[in-house]
Amino acid sequence: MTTALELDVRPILRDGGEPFGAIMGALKSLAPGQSLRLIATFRPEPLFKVMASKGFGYEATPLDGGDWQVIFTPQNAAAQSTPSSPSDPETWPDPIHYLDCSEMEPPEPMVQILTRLEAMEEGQVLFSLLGREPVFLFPELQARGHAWVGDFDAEGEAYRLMVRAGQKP
Amino acid sequence: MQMASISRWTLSYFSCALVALVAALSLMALGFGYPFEALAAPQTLVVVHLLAIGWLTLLMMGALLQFLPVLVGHELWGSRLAPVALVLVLAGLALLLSGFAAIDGWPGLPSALLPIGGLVLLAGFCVAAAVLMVTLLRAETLPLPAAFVGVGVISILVTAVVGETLAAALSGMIGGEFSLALMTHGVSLHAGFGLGGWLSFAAMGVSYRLVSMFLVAPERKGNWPKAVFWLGGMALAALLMALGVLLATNAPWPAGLAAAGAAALACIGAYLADMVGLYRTRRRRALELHTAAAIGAFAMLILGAMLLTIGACTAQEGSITAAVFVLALGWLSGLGLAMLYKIIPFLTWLECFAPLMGRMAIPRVQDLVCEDRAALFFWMYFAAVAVGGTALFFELSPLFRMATTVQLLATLLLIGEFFRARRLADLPLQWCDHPRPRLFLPARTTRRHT
Repeated sequence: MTTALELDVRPILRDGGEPFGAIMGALKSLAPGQSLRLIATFRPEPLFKVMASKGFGYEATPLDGGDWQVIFTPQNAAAQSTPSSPSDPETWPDPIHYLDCSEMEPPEPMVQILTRLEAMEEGQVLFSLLGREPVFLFPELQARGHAWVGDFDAEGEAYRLMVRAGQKP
Repeated sequence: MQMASISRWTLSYFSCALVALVAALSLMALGFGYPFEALAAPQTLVVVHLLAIGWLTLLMMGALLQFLPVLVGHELWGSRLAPVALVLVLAGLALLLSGFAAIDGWPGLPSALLPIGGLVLLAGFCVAAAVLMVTLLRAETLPLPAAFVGVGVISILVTAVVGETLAAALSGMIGGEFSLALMTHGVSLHAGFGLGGWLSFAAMGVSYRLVSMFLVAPERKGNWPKAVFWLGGMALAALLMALGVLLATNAPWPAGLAAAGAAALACIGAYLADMVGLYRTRRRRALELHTAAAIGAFAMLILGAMLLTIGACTAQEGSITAAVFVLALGWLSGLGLAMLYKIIPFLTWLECFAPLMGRMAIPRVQDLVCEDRAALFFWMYFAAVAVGGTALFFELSPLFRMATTVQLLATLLLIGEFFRARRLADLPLQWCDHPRPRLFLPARTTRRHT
């Protein structure tokens, strides 16, 4: 486990400055799975929401003199520290493409999805929404070495498909 | 893993089926069998079984091998058994037809060929039924269209067992009062299970999914399709009870047959209402030819049901034979030819162009066909069936021969279109050098992971 990166924003706050830029800068320099230890002059409530949206949980503790320490930990630390594996969709990164094929007439969704996948790097993920289960697409995805996972939404009307691009031949 | 690979033997099934259709229509056009011979004459039985087994059953089996995985979202179990079932059914059919010829008095043919053929057919149907049933049972969920297919598969086995008993009676292996009762009253049950339980019920199930897929219409949900299923199930249950009564008492059970008929009519009515619903809610505004031609088949289903009702009420032979003709050659064959007009180009397109998809520009499925030309052939086909049915109804035999000749011609022209699609003959010039797939045998190699 890597040690947490420490960022003390108390000097910025005491000078009447805005520490948000510094915090975001620190986030960028975090190694995968690394936590951020933030020290501030107050309990930074607004920041918790922002960090949650970036996938961080927090643990805030009061320090002597009214200061606060907050440790932001990446929620999916385990997932980020292991490489994305085709057989485990939990490890796939967020989709970089979104393709709405729900209004297309078959077999257009198949052509569109395969065309988009051709332009993607190995490991990148495509999310697609379809009107029905694309059963004839699956053999072609398999033949090209792509991995996929899909299911119907709760109403059973739209089929949600995630495809992780495989290695180029 | 849910997927539907190209079924390797489906086109072989389709090709054998089309050969049987052409053979049966040629015999009819030549005046072989009914109405030029008696309804129960061996010649008529040859034509009827060529159509029911050679054409319609092989067509349905080929289609189910490809589309049952689409219905249940699960790979086909035992796909290696597909050629085994095909060979058994073809061999059984050849033996059965030879058996009918033997009963007709052809020299050198023993009548035992009839029950032997029936047994080989039963074996073939069992192999096919095992593939389809295990695929159904391994699915996580069983959608309603798949339940139709399940009932159809059970029905084909009942049909074959009753048929085998009839074959034993016809060939003189079993005799007595039972044999006489079976030959007098069992044939309608045999036909009911075959045409209704197997072919029509399976066709209804598959059409629920395929028609909604082709029309881009939301699938039918709720109680209406369930009512279609249960009404059909009741009709078949009544038929099964009538069969039980016949086996137990050597006597028919008219009330059971009437109940089966009433339930079947209600089932057809509810099914057609669902099909109208699918066409009304479609998102693909312009109808492609196969969905337009399917309307002809649905019209034939209405006509056939009306004729059957008239026949049941009046016991007039002409209306019953016209009903069976219109149902077999208008409804089932018409729907079959219409679906082949989509399925063959689609499977050909997948086989030839799926590996290129996304890597270069490829033709559309519709580029493989020429609908204007084929539309004329479908009109010819359905008009000929309507005239043929009319000729049977009014017992105008020469007109029937003319009608079946036109029907044969239309069928040959449609087969020409299927052939052109397979040979990529209607594709634009830029594709003239694209490798052609094998006509009806499975592709030589299958692709592996890249």
